[in-house]
Amino acid sequence: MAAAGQNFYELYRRSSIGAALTDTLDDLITSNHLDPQLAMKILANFDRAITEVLQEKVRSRLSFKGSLHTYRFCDEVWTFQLKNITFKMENGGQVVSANKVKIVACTAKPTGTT
Amino acid sequence: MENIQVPTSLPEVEQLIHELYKPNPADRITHIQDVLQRLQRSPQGWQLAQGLLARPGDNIKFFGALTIIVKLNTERLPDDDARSVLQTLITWLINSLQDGSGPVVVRKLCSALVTYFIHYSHTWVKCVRHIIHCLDLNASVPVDDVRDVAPIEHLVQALEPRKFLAASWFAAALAEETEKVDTKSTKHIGLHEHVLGNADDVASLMASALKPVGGATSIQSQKEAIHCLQAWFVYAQRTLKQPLIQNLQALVQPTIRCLLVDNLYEITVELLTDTLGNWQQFFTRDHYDSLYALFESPWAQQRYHDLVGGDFEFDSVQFGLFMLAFGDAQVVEMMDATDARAQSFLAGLAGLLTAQGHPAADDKIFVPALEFWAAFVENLVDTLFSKSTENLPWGKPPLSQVMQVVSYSWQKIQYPPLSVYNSWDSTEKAGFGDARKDVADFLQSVYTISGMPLISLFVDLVLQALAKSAWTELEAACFCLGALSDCASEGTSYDDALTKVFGSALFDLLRQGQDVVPMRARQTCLYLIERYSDYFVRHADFLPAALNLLFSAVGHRHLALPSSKSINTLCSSCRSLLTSEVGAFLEQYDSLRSNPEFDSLAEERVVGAIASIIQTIPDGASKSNAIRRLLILVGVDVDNSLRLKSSEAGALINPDDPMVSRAFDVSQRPTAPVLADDTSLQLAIRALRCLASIAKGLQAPVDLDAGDDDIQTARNTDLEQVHVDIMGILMRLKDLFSGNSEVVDVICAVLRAGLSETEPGPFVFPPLMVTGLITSSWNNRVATVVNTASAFVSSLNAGRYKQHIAPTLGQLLPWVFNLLHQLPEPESDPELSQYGIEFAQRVLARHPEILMSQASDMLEFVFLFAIKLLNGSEPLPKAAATEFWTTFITAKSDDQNTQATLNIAMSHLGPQLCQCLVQNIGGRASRSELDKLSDPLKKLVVQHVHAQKWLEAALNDPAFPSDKVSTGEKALFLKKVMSLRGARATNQVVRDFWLACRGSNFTYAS
Repeated sequence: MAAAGQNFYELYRRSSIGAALTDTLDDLITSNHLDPQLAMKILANFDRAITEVLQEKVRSRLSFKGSLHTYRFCDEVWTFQLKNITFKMENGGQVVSANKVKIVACTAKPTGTT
Repeated sequence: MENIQVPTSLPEVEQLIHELYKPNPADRITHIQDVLQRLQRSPQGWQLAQGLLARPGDNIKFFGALTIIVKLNTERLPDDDARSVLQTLITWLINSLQDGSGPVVVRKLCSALVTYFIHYSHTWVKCVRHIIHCLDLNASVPVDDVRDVAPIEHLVQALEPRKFLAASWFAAALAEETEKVDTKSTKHIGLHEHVLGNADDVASLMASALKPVGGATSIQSQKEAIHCLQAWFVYAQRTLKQPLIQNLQALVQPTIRCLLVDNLYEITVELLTDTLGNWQQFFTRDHYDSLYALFESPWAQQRYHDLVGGDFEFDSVQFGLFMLAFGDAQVVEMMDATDARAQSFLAGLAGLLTAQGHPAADDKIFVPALEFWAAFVENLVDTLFSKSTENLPWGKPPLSQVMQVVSYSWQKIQYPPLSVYNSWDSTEKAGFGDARKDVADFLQSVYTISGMPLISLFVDLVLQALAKSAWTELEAACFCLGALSDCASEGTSYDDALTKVFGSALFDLLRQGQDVVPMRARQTCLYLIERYSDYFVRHADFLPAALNLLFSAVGHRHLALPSSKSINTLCSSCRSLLTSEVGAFLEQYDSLRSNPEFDSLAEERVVGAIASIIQTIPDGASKSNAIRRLLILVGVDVDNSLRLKSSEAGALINPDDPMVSRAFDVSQRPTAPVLADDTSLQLAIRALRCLASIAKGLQAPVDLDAGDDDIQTARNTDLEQVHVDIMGILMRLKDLFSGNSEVVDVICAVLRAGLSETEPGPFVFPPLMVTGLITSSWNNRVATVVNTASAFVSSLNAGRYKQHIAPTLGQLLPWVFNLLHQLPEPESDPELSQYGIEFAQRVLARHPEILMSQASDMLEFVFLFAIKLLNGSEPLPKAAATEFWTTFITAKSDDQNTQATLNIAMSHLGPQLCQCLVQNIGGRASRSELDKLSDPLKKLVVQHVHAQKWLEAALNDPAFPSDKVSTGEKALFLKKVMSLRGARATNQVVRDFWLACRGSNFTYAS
């Protein structure tokens, strides 16, 4: 479990589940059922929970192949731009192809936690 | 609701506070809170706090302290007044220690003092020293008096335990609360400098408590000191400032000694584990040496022995986690083969995987220990990246330890006897299954370093287990070997090793049934075949034995799923090798159909497998013949279904009837007579699912060159007849069962399977046939059919049927628009609205001339429909409408008439569209919709000369949803949007404007 005081990325707020949560919090604020301060805490809690759940509970895997077009590492963030990618889900599952894919990857522990 | 009067006297306030803590309805409590909060914020709040703190009762005093916190947070006092508040607060703290107030009051007063410090730290620089001094004197003395006090160590030692606790609580709260204040903001630099100025005193306070002295009081003080230390570690980690870090580092040795005190063990081990896990750099070489010495001590050896011996109590598991955190912090040393001390410790970490019991169900340290080893191997991979993996010293640590862990893991994931497994609850079973997956992941990591030898190891283990009929070992070894299949999928270098397994007596033994090999081992072995299907492509000589084995197992209830999955993968991968055997497969399938245990999902996979073999038959006539044979078998269920459907209403069928066995799988099979209608429906679904699987199996495995778009294939009467037969089945089942959503879904799946094909085939129906089915009447889920129609139209664009586009759309467009027209409201069926508008959008994008040539009243309806969706609140139809308008704004046609119609439509619809967009961007849209809504706006400003005028009118319309932005702000927004000319930055401008319209309450999210 994460220790008290550890920072968490806010990047999952832009995921569909994060956007849906934010929309719901907006609705609750509009109807005066929630204070913005509490909404902020809920989002901070979401940042922690989704990071932990993705790390600990999600066990699905996939592999992919393609050509690496560009890569860079800046401010602890890796960016890969790939071309002609094929994603293969685990256990011989679905195969998904794409012409271009961008992967943005951050270190598991944000700066300031180690 | 009962009205609550605002109290006018202290006793009335007290009464209300008592009421707050009583069990009451939620709305009453909220109401009481509102009244009390108004009092707290009122100008009389200070007097109220003072009055409450002087009254008896912890709740009353607590509320008094809370009121002080509210006042400090909401009012700014002159420094002199603030100092006077401080003196009073300290007096109350001292009083509360003497008048028997509970810890809750003392802690709240400490929090109030910290709140004071956060706002007025410049008036109370040496706060810790001052508090201790006041507690020592039992009086609130002026802040400046601390200059002359004795060394703080003496003062702390002289404090009574209760006063020491108060000082510790204050120090802990100081770190916890100030840690939340942004350390990087220049506004708070002064506050954090003042906090750091107290580091010496805090360290002295804790050091004095951590000295080993006996007695229960001392234990309590030590616990509080460690708790305080934890808060300061977090603060120091956030600020990373000296000399605070040095001060805290000096406390590590006494903290380590606290581990040996039973009553302090739990809190201490948690502190050290967390800090090792999150802030390895904090510990010095001396600290690590001390921890090594600790782990080598008899105390640690005993704890380790207990844990490995099966003691999984909380304390014991904590010790294991402590070891793992230490190993993680020392990972570089652990990888150094010459560091004997680290290697000895590493051996201990490997030993954690040998703890008694089964992972997750009994053994609570296995999973965390395996996680450590997975991370360790990843580190090793990074270290060895540049070196050749040919001649690695596998016989020496740390690589020998890794192989030891592989061996332990393999042993640990062996299933227990069935009686033990069945005694576990579902969580334990799932935990054990997850632990096996963790081992699979770990082995894949190890493979990156070891390569072939790891495969050979498990091949040998399989053979050894086979030789001694050790089935649980065989199962585990096959599972591990299967886990490595993804790694070994490329190249043929593993084939020799795998031949040892697939050429062994394994297949023969498995065919002998459960009396010889238990079920679980058979299941895993069948999966193993599927995992290595590529091997069988290269070694066709083993294919018959594998398929015979799989077909012999597929009729068995417990083996149906693994064997059918393997049959599907194997037949699909090796389809070209099996073409000549298609007759035998069809016979096998025919005989399986009479087996009452033949599972429906297994059947789908088997027919899909056979279809994939048929797909490779080069000769058209033979191919059609094989397909027809397969369809005849499936058609038996269709005929039975139709016959049952025509039975009289309420007719029942005996559960022993073979049709019931076909309709219901064993697990759902009824034991009493069942309605003919239900049986008929289930048979229809089974037949349709088989058809869908056949359609998928017949798809070409790779995309053929799409350059043959215009090739007209010669008439193939066989194929045409197959089309008629299949479409006949679909039509009949649709007419009878389209009230069932699953039937509709599967019929659409059958249609879709042919849409992606570039060559003629049994499921690549002529467009007229597909259009006929789509536009016929449906009783349920018509939205799915509309969605299929969209895919169908797209496939016509890409395929050889381009000349059919206009007539097809001529039928489909009115059909879709008519469906939308029948809706009472656009949002009454969101799915249909979404797919309907998506359909229109696709046609508009590729064939604007066809869309714009529809009847004018119908076009007007569709445009207004899309406007209403944009104004609505259903997210998916709204997103579809947004995309429709984005496409419409940019729609261009070579045909002059069409272009003229588009221009006229835009000039009519533009103002309305802008009104909708502005209403949404002005606050009505949800936050997540803003990016999507920015798209039509961006297109509009670069495509239409009147865009600015339309947008301006919409912004200044009286119906604009927000009164929080001025006319000037609206004008500025428009100016920004126009000057950006559709650039990406428009999205941010839209977001900022939406926030301004919604108000500051919505700025909480970044």
